Amino acid sequence: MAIDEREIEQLARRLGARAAGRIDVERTAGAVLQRVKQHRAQPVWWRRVPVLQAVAAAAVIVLVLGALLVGRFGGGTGDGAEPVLLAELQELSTEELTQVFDSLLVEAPVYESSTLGLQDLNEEQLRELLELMEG
Amino acid sequence: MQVPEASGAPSDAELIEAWRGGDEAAAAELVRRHPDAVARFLSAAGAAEDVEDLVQETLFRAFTKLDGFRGAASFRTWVMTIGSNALKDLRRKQARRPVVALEDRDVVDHGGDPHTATLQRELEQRLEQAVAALPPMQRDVFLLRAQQGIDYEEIAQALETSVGAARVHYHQAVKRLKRALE
Repeated sequence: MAIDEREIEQLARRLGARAAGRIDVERTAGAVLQRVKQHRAQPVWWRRVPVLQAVAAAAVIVLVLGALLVGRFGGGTGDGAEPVLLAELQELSTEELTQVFDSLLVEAPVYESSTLGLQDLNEEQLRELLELMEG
Repeated sequence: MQVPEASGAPSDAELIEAWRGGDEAAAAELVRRHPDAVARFLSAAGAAEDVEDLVQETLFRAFTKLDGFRGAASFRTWVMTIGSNALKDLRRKQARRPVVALEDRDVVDHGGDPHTATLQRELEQRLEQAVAALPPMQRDVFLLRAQQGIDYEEIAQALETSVGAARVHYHQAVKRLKRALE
């Protein structure tokens, strides 16, 4: 059955209508505001703890990834494999790096109380992280 | 996209300013305006039964990131991009979770002729699955444009891409969806 763009758009406008109908707006608003107030009540340094945790978790992921790659390609031979692999990693885009982490079944750092996950690091931050790991 | 407001009601931007000044009632009003649209967007993006929690998470994240909201796109469009990221994070956490069965998906009850209604439901279910399977950028552009009616310029600003790229993503999405529905 052929379907044209206009029909697809009409169908798309109806998607999610039932889910929206199930939302209790007052309950949602109350829950959000309560969380926002709790968040605001926290000292600034405490709000930053998840950020530091995320950076630390990202560093651990890079270490694990580096160890896996070095192990696979015969690290420890003193032939400079690590810098080469890290240099290759530096060529990857943010999306590609995330895919690499995913393929290793490593869960990216995501915290209930935080807005930051690994995917929130931009390309430059990830590169900096890799450079730090390279020492 | 302008959020429909009652005549004389403060705009989202005004509510945001009031909230920044400590007005909790403004925050409450701001939160009440958007759950429906965000729920429709997230459900169509594949959130399934997690929609209410995800709407809460999305709006909470929006408030905690409010200092970074520059108003290039509307508040609602900006919130939806945050929702898309929240959905992605949820997916990561639930990577091994079983796929939701077809009959559990969210579709509209059409009433009327049962045969036509059944066909329509099937089509919507297939579309919903196809939309959820799109690459995230194509999915977001498609839903913001087709479901939410937002123009390309605002979509491009919200997703930090160009208008041309947004158009390309949209047409790629439609092409994939057509194939999935044929």
